[in-house]
Amino acid sequence: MAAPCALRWAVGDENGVVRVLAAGPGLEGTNVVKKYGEMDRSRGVEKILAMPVEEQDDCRIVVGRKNGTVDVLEGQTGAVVATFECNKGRNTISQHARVRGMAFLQEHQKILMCSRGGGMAVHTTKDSWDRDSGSELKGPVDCAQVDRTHTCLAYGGEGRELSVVDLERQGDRAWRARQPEPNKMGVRPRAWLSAVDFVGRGPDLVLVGTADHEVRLYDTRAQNGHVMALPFGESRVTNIASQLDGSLVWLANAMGTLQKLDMRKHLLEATLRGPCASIRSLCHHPERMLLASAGLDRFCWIHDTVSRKTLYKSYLKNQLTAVCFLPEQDAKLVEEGDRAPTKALHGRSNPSTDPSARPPAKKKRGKGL
Amino acid sequence: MWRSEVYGKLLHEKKREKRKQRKKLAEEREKAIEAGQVPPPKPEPKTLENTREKDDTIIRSDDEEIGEDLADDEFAQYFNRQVSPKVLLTTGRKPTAIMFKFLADLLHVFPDATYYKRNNHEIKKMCEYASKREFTDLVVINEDRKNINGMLVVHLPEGPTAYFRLSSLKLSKEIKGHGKPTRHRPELVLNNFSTRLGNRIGRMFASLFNQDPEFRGRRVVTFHNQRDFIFFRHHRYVFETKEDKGKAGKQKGIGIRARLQELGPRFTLKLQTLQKGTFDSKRGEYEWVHKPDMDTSRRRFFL
Repeated sequence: MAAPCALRWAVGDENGVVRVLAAGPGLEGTNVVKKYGEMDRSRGVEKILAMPVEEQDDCRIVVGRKNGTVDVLEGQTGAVVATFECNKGRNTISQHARVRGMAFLQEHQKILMCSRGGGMAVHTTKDSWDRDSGSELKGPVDCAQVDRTHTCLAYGGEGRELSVVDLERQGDRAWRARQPEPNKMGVRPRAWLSAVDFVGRGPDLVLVGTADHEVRLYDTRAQNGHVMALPFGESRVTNIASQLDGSLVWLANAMGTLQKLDMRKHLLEATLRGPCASIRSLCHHPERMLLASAGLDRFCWIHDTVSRKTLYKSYLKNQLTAVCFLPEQDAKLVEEGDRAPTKALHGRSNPSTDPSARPPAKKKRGKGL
Repeated sequence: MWRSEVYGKLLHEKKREKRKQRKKLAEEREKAIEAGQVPPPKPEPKTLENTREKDDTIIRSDDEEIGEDLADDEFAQYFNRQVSPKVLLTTGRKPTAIMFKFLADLLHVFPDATYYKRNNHEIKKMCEYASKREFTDLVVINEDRKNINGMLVVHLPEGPTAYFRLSSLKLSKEIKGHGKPTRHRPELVLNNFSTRLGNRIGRMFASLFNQDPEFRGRRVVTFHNQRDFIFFRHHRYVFETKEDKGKAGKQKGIGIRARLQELGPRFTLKLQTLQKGTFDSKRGEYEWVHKPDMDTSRRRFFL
C-alpha cells in the first residue's frame, strides 16, 4: 500500500521570503516545513512556480521577483540553482522591472519569463541555464499567461488590450483583441487588463479580467471582439484560475471576493468564504479539486472547490503575493521546520485523505421541548 | 401556560443554585480570613474582552520577523525620526457649519495641521498635490446632511489609506467643563491595538503626531480600542497630592492623583476598509475589508 502523501504548497510574500507548507495524513494541522530567503522588500516575490525534476523525484521552485530577477531554488534545501534577469540589456525603470508572467514549458524544458516593461526571456533548464532567446512585448504588461499546450502567450496591461503571441515565432503577434464598443454615454473606457487565463487545455479561449470590474471571454478562432462580458465584484479583478476541463473558472478580485464562473452557462455562481483582502495569487491543483489563494490579509487559504469548504488556513505574518502547489510527498519525508501549526477546520484534527469528499449531512433537530 | 410555568421553574432553580454557590464561596472566604489563611481568589466575571476568540494575528513582543517587517514599512521613516508629520485637513464637497466647528477643534489637536478648501478636487489629485508639497498625511472628513459620519486618512506618498466611520461626535463646546488646548505637542496613548491589523492602524495614528511630545503642556491624545471601536479623547492632566482617608481598601496617608480636564473633541471611529496604496476606490487593492460573513461571533475582534 502506498505511503500516505502530504499536500504541499509554496507561498511567497512581499518581503521575498518563500515558505513551503504541508498538511494532510500523518501531519497535525498545517506546518511551515521550509522557509527560504532573507527579508528584502526590493526582492519581493511576484510569481512562483513548481518545476518538476524527474531525476530527483522532487521539484524545484521558480521564484519571480519585484526587481526582475527569477531564481530557481532547490526544493529540499532552498539553495539557489540559477538566477535569470528578465530585463537584461534593457533600460527599465524600477516600476516596470517586476516579473509579471512566468511559465515552465515542460516539453522543451525551458522557463519563460516576462516583466512589466515587456522584456521577455526564455532560458533552458537542461545542464546549462543559458538564455535561449529573448524578445520584447509591448508593455506595460500587467498580466501574462501561457496556455497548457505551451504554444501561445496571452498578455495585456494598462492601456493595452489582450494580445496573443505565438511562442515559436516569438515577438510575432498572432492575435489581438478589438477594443470594446463605447458604452451608453459614448465613452470607451481605457483598457486595463489585470488578469488573464486560458480556459481549459486549449489555446483558443482566453478569459481576461479588467481593473474596471469586468471579465471578458475571447475566442481567438472566431472574432476579435469579446464573446462574453460580465461585471464581477466592485474592484479590480486580480486573478483567474481555470479548471483543467474548462467547465469552471475561479475569479478573484482586490476586495477578497473569490467566485466561481460557470463557463457553460456564463453565470457567476457560488463564492468561497474566507479571504478579506486583495487576493494576489490563485492556484488550482493540477489533479485534485483544490484551490489555493494567498493575499494581503496575510493568510493562505486552501479550499475544496466541490464542497466549497475551507480545508486549511495559515497565518504567515507578512502580506502574501504568490502561491503554487508542489508535488505531494510522503508525510514521513516532510521535515519539520518552523512550527506554525494552524487549525484544520470543521472540528477535524486530521482532515480526511480525500479532501473532495462531501462533509456528513447535518442532523435534524427534534421538535418541541 | 404549562410551558411557561415549566420554563419559569427552570429559571428559578438556576437562580437558587447560583445563590447557593455564591453563599458557599462567601462563607469559605470568611472562614479563611478568620483562620488567618489566604482566602480563595474571587471568580473573575466573564466579559467579551476576556473571552475574546483567539486570533492568530495577535503580535507577540518577541516576534523578530514582524519587527523586521515593521522596520521597513511605510511608517518606518516616521519612527526613525527621518520625517516629521505634516497633516492636510480637508472636507467633503459641500461642508456645512458643523464641519467648520469640528475642523477648528481638529486643528488644535494635530500639532502640524493645515486646512485647505476642498474646491471640488478629486481625492486622487489631492494626494498628488499634497505629496508634492511634502505633506505626510491627508485627512478628509466626510459629512452627510449636516451629520459628520466619516474620516479618510491617507498616508503619503504611498499609502495605506484607512476609511473610518465616525460617530458619537461631541465638539469641545458641548463638553461640560472643557478646557482650551494650548499649542504644546501632545503625548499619545494607543490602547489595545494588538493584532497585525490593529498594529498597522495604531502606527497610522501615531504618524499623525510628533515623536517628541512637550510634557510641559500636560496634553494627551488617546486612541482607545475596545471591541473594534476606537474612542478618541483629548485631555489635559495634572498630578495633585491628595490625602487618602483609608476608604475602599486604600492606605491612609498622602497620595498622588491624576485629574483630567477634557479639551475635546470626542468621537468614536470604526474601521471600514484599509487600502494598500493611496486612495483609489475603483482600482485599488484592499488590505482589509469588513464583510458580514466575518461576524461569526460576538467575541471576535479584528483590531
